[in-house]
Amino acid sequence: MAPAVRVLCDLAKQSQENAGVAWLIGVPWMPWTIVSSIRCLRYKDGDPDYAAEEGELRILLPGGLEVIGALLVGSDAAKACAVATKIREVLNLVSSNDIVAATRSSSSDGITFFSQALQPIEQSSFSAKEFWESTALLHCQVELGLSIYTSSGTSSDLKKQLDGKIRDLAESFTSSTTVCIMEGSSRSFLARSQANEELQSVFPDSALFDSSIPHPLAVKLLTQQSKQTDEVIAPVVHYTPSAEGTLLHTATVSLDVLCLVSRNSALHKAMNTITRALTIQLESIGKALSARNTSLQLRPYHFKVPASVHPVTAIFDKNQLERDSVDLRKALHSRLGLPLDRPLFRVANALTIRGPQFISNRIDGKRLLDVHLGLPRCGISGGEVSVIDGSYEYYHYLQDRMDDKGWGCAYRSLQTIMSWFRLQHYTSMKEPSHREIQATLVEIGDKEPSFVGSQEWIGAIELSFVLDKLLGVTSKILSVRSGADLPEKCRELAAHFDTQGTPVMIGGGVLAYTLLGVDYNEFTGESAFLILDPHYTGGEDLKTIRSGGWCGWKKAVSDTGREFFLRNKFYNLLLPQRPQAV
Amino acid sequence: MRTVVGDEALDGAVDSIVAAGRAVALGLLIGRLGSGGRDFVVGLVQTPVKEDGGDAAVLLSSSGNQSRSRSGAGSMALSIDAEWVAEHARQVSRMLLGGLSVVGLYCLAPDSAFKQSTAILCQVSNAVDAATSISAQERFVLQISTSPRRLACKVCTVEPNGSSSLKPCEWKLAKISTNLQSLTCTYSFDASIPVRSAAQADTFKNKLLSWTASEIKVIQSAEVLINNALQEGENYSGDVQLLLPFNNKEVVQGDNPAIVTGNVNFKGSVDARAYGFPREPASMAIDAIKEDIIASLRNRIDILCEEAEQQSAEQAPLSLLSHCSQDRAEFILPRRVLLPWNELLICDYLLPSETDKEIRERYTYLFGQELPGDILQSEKFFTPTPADSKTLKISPKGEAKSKLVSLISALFGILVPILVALAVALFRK
Repeated sequence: MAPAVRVLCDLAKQSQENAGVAWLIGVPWMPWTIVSSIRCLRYKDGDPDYAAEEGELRILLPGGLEVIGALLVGSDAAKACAVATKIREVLNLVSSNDIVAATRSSSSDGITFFSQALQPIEQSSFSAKEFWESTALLHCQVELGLSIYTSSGTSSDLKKQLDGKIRDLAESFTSSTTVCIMEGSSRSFLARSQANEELQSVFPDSALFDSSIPHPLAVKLLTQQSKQTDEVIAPVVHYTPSAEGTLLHTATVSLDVLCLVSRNSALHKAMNTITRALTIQLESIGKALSARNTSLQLRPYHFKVPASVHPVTAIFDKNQLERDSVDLRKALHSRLGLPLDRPLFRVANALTIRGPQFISNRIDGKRLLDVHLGLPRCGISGGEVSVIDGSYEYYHYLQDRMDDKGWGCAYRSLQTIMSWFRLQHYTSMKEPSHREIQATLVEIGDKEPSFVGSQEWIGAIELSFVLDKLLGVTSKILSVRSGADLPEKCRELAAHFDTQGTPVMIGGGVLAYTLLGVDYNEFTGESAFLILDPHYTGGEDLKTIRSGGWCGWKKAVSDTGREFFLRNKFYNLLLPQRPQAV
Repeated sequence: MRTVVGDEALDGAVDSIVAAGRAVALGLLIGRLGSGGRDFVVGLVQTPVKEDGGDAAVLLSSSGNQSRSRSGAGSMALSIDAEWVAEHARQVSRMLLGGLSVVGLYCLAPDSAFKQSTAILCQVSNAVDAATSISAQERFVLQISTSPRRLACKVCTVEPNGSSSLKPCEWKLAKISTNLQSLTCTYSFDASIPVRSAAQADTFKNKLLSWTASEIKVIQSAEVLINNALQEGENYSGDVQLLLPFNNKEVVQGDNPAIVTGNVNFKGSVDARAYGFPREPASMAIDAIKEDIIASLRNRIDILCEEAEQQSAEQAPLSLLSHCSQDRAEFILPRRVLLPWNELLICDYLLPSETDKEIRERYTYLFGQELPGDILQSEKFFTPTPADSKTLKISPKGEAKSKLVSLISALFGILVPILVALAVALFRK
C-alpha cells in the first residue's frame, strides 16, 4: 500500500519551464511531504551540475530541510529518482528509502508522483498550518572575529591561515565547552552538544507571524568559560615582540541561521541542527573571503516569499550597491519560480528578527496603513473579489496641516499610490507634497510656472506624468464616457488587480477617488468598488473612517437604486504598472 | 527611617571595645550597603595605630588639649586623621570578597563628644567613601557612647549641593554571617592582546587595564549557570559557571591590516567568591561574584604596579610600568589566598617573593587580630615547563639577587674549609 504524498507548494507554477529539474524539499521527520521546491539552475551536459547546485542549495535552505526528491519535466520517474539520489549523495545526506520522484510532461500541468520503487502514489492535501503545528523554527546569530598574523604579507600565507582558522572555528562549534541557550517566550533551555538531554517537547506554541510562519526560538551560542579544574593557575602576562613587518589582519564573519526542527526533538539534536547550519554558512563565507577579499562584509539575510512555506536565506555583500547584486536576486527569483516584476529579495525586504520575535517591516508613521483590510464584503452574490496586493498609506484632505479641501483630492490619491510603491520597496522616495507635484508638472513642461502654489485640480493624465517622472512608473489610462459605463470595465479592473495589484485612481468630473478593488459578478453584471476616499477631513481614526464610508465597498447601483458614479461625467482611470524590477 | 541590620556577634564585639577602657576608639564597619535594598553590618575592624605611634582618633578638650579620660566635663570634640582611616579602608576593602565592602566607621567616645563632632565624622565618612572602589556617596557611622552607654547608628549622605549630614537610622540585630549563601567561580581566560606600532608607547599596565575594562562588559552580560543549571531557586550556594558569547572578539578600529610590534598574552584563572544575603534574589549574588572577578584582576595589577613603583630603576628594570618595547617579558601576577575572619573568608594577594609569614603579618596589622585559622591556598603560581624556561627573563624582585647570594654561599662553602685547613696547617707549624 503506497503512502500518499502531501504537497505544500504550487509545483505546477514552480516548474513552468519546458525541461529541467526541480528539487523537492522536505523534512526528515515528515516523510512523503513536499514542503517546497527549488528549481535547478546549474546544468552540465544536460544533467544537473551537482557540485554547483550543492553549494547554492546549502546556503539557500534553512537547516533541517533536505532534498527528498526531484521533479523532472519531460523525463521519466527512474531518471528523477537517480537525480535525487545523486544530489543527496553530494549533499552528504543519509541514504533514504523515501525518495519522491515526480514527473511532468512539457505539455501539461499535471504532475505524477512515484515512490522510489517507481510505484505511482496519490497526492493528498496538507496545509501550512498543519506543517507548523509539528515544526518549530530556531534562529541563531553569531558574530565571529578572526585575527590573523602574517609576516611580510604574502597573500598565500594569509589564505592558508584564514582557511585554518575557519576550520578551527567550525570544529569549535561542536566542542564540549560550547553550549546553547534557547529562549522561548517564557522559558529558557540549556543544551550541550555532547550531553544526552532528555526528550522534551520544549517548544512553546507561538502565534503565527503574519499568519504564515511561527515566531522563532532564539538560540544563543555560548562558551563555558569557567570550569572546576584541579589546578587554578594565577594569571601570568607574557610579552613577545614580533618580527619585523608583522601584520595583523582582522575580519568579522556574521552568521545568521534559521533552522526547522521537529517539535518533539531532543534538545541536543536541535543544537546539532544549529551547529551544522552554522558550520555550512561559515564554510561558504570563509571560501568567499579566502577567494576574494577578507574585508568583504558578507551578511546572511532571510526572506519569506509567497512561493515557499518556510523562509529562505541569501548572503549579500553589505557594501555592494543593490544594482550590482541584481543577478543574484534574479537567480533567487528563478529558483523559487517567482515573477520578475516585484522586488522580493531586496535587503530592505528581509525578515527582521529580534530575539524570539519577527519584527514587521511596516513603517508606522502617523498615517493609517491598509484601512481596507478586514472590511466585510458588500453582498454581490456570486461576485469575484479582486483587490490590490501590498500595503499603502491613507492620504486624505487636511493632513500635514495642508488645507487642500476642495481641490486636493487627486493629489492625495497620487500620494496614496506613491506610498504603495515605497512600501513595496520599488523606491525609497518619500511621497511628494502638493507643491512638489506641481513643480514636477512644470518641470516636464505640462504646466506653466504659475501652476506652482495654485489650487488647481489635476487628473489621471497629470498623475501618469508625475509617476513616470518621479518613479519611472508607466501607467495605463482607461476612459469611459459616462459613469454608468464604469461597471463594464470591471473585468479589466479585476485583471489589473490580479496581475498588477497596484491601487487605481479614478478621476471624473470634480471628484477623484482611489480604487482598491472590485467585486464583480460576470454573469449578472452586478459590481461593487472598494473606494478609498481622499475627501475625508477627520483624524486618523479607523472606526470613523470605516463607519463613515470613507473606505468601503460602493455598489455601482445601490439597493435603493442610486448610482455611485455620475452618469453625465466622463471618467479617467489611472492604472499604474509594476516596473520590471527585482 | 533606614534600618541597618547588624550581625548578632557585633553585640559581643562592641562590649569588648567598651571593656578595653579607652576614651576613644575608631574602626571600620564591614558589611553591605543596600542602596535601595537592605543594609547589613557583619563585622568591625579596628583602625591600626599610626606610623608615629599616635592614635587615629583622639579627644580634644575645648582648650585643645588631648584628653584621656572618659568623664571629661565641658565641650570635647573628636580629632580624627581622616587620611589614615581612609588608607586603612582602602587596603581592607581590597581584601573583602564579593558582596562585602567597607560600609562605614564605628567610633567609641563620650556622648558629649559626638555632639561636637558631626563635621569631623562626616569628613571621615566621606573620605572612607572615596577610598573604596565604588563611591556610593553615603556611609554609616556607628556611634558607641560611653557615658551614657548607648549605640546609635547614623548615615552620612553627601547631598547634591556638597554638604553632608548625619541622619539617624534604626539598628537591629540578626543572625547574618551564618545565613549567608556563598558562591564560588573559577574564571579562566587566555587573551591575546596585539601591540600595534601606533600604540608602542603604551605601558603593560595600560594594556592590561584596558583589556580588563572590555572584559568587564563581557562578564557582566554573560549568562550564568549555578551548579550546572539555569534555574535559580531559594538555595543557590555552589559553583558558578559563566557562559560567554561564542568567540566574542572585539571589533578592532584602525588600520586593517595593522602593523604590530608585539603581542601580550594574558592568561590564567582566578578563584572568585561572593556572598549572598538572606532573602535576596540570586541575581544580586551573581552580580557580586562578577564584580569579584574584575576586582580580583584589577587588584593584582595594582599590587604589582605599586610594588614596581617602590623599587628603584636598577632593581626592577622591567615591570608593568614599562613600555611594550623590544624585549621579551614575563610578569607573574600575585595569587589569591583566602583567610578566615569572623565566620567568613577574606582574601589577600601573595607576590611570588612572599611567604605565609608576610600574609600573617599583614592580616594582624590590618585586622587587629591573629590569623584564627589556616590559609586557604586556592590558586597556584605559574610554573614554566622546561621548554619555557629558556624564554624566561625576569620575574619581579631579584631572583638575580638570590642567585648571587647562593653563589656567594657556595663559594663560602668552598673557601672556608680551605682557610680552616690553611689555618690549621699554619697553626700546627
